[in-house]
Amino acid sequence: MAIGPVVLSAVSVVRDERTVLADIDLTLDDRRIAIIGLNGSGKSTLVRLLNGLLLPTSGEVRVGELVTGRDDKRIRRLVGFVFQNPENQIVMPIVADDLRFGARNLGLARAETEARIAAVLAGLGLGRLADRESHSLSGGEKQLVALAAVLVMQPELIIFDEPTTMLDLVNRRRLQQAIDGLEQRAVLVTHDLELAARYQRVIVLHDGRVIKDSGPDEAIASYRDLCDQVVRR
Amino acid sequence: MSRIPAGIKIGVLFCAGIGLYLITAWAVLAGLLALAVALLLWMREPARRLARPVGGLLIIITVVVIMTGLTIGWQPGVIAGLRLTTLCLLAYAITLSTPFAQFLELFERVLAPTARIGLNPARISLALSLTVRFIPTLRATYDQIREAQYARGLHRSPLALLVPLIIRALQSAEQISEAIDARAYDTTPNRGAK
Repeated sequence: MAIGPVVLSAVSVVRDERTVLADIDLTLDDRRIAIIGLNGSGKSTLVRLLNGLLLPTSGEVRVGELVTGRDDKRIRRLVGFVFQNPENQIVMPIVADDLRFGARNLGLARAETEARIAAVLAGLGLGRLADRESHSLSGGEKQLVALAAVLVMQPELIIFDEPTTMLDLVNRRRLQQAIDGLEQRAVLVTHDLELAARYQRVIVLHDGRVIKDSGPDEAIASYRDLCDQVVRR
Repeated sequence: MSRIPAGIKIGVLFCAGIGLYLITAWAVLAGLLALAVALLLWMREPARRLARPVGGLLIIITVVVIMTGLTIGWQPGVIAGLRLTTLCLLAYAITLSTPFAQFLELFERVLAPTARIGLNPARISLALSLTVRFIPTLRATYDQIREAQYARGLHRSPLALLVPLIIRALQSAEQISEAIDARAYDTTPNRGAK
């Protein structure tokens, strides 16, 4: 099932009387989209709206024909989420069991589950980790396992919320290679401008609003200007 | 041994637990201990991986033997030590040879009747796996906080350790819950039953 574009219509999020996102209208249909912005600009809140982890205070988020808040179970089968801290994303003590967790939630038969796990681990070069205890992995390995756990569910869109923040340069590159190789559409929240520059569309958020939505060169230049202004203030 | 269903292995362990307490001859118990050691070695786990848990176990059992020896007598102490060591090594061999997911499935099957009284076996099973998964993480967090407090000169302040530990555990719990939701977790008892 192709999910079509993710459409946010007049979306606002208010938390503790603070407007985190204000009147956002976006259509996310490009293959690779990066979202950048200062800390507290609303990036993580925005992407949590895309698979119904968070519901808007007003407005509507549609994932193809599905609407968050109404079709969350179906949406979460189609939209995967890789969090910033893999430590809290891996929920089973053994790596292969963690991958089974998501497949089991989809109701897959055992043979199908095991075939998917083997294929995903091999594809990411993680076959040797299948029987390892999750807590004993390095940070880079944990982040790749977190990605593998999402890939086993074969989503059509994967959201990455600052996935490289806790990684060294080598693991950052490994993860980036893995993301580059994905067939799925991806929306990536990042502070890494080098990474964002590789994406076809870059959205800049500031104070809960979209201040730039364009190709990477223009958007990153705009973000650098914003940073200069904030520092000078 | 990994091909044997988890239910059978747990059944054998249960019977062994009862059987060992019916045997009083120390020579027979010593023979069974030798069998349990052989079974553990058959798992072909690296010695380094076995050393820590087995070492910790032996320390605890030595204390039990000494306490029993001093209070009841040395023969009952040695017999208690042999029984406990055999049973623990057998349990450890079963743990090593059984994927955690199999334990969870068994746990859910055993708890399935509790659904009739309003409990949710799937949720209990997940809670169990999360407990096992996050013990090392909590330990690492504890160590980090202790180091940070030592660096600030707070050597003997349980409050300075416990308060940040609880806060960080709660923050993690929120993130874990979000991650579980994001992976389409459904708590209905028969989810994914195929």
